[in-house]
Amino acid sequence: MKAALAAALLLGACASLPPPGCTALSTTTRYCLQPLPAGHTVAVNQLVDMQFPGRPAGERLVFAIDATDARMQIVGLNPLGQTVFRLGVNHGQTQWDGPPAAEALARQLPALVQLMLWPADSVRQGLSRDAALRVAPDGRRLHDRDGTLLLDTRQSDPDPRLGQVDAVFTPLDARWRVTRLAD
Amino acid sequence: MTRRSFLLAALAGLAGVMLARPLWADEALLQEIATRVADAPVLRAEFSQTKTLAALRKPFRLAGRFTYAREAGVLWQVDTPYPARYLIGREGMVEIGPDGQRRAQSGREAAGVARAGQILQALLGADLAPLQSAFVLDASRQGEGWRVTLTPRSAELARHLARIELAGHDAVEQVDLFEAGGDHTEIRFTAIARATQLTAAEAALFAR
Repeated sequence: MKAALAAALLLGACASLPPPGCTALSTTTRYCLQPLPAGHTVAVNQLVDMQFPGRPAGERLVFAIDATDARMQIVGLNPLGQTVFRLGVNHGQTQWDGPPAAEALARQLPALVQLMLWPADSVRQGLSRDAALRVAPDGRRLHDRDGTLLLDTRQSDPDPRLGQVDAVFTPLDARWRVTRLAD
Repeated sequence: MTRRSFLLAALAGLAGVMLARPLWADEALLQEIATRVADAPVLRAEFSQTKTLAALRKPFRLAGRFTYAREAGVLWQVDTPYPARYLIGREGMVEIGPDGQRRAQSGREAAGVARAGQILQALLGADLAPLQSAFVLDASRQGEGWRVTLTPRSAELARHLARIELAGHDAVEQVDLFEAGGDHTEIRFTAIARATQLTAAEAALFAR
């Protein structure tokens, strides 16, 4: 009985937390990581210029991304090619190997990458039901149910894995420029 | 330790000493390598770097050029796939932006970068003696050239780095870094040229 009560209390306490594999994008919208559709794979190296509040100089990293089905690896490299972090996702479970100070932000990284790069249908399946994703050849716009803009991307190629993507993540006030590096 | 295990350990140690090559052979070869390589105050070369990440299919490639100045450090200039310039010295690493603005690494990462800078500078100059406190050096001849394998002495460093291999003739021509996690970085140097002094442009970049 005591155990059941403790479990009930614990569940109640966790009700507002997103479940494993899911990221809260706003108070009403979450995104749960999605596997790539059968037959799809992603293996790209991207130069990512990031700007955050309080960091006007920004950060420049290379993301080496490799994804198949429900597994995704993101390795962050500095521009000299030294590994800064390694993030693995396997069926929604994330594994972080990098600076502890960056872990909280980095755990949102797979969701941000998928929102920008994954096939639109897969992204829709991972979003809360009342979120609105509009996809056009030149970008994506994601609003929550209140109409608040959560993500705005502009892409140079209809396939966001190619070319350049400029993204604004409104909740984080973060701006990214993602450029695919030639093979 | 029991008497029997102590004896076994002592025998194993003795066998190790007997099987190992004489220490002086490595030291003579290391000295010869240092003499062959470090005979110019300035060294310039082009580099191509390939990083193969464990469990990732696509390698990451960089290419560019560097200037090694024995007294000042290394100017590392990436040309492709994006332009980037770094000054790497014993004090650490400074990024030089397209506008010439300099940005020093800070925080915990800076200490690691400074250490990597020291190692890089020592590797490019084949100034291997200072590395002997951190690495076990194993040198061998490869035809007209040579190869040196550096294996970390400390367990802490070995958690990250399995070994470094250097190879060359009259200069360091290839560096291979094998990380403990399975990542492998290969850096090849070509168009290697020696000089007695920096150009004015290089000197301006090295001036801090």
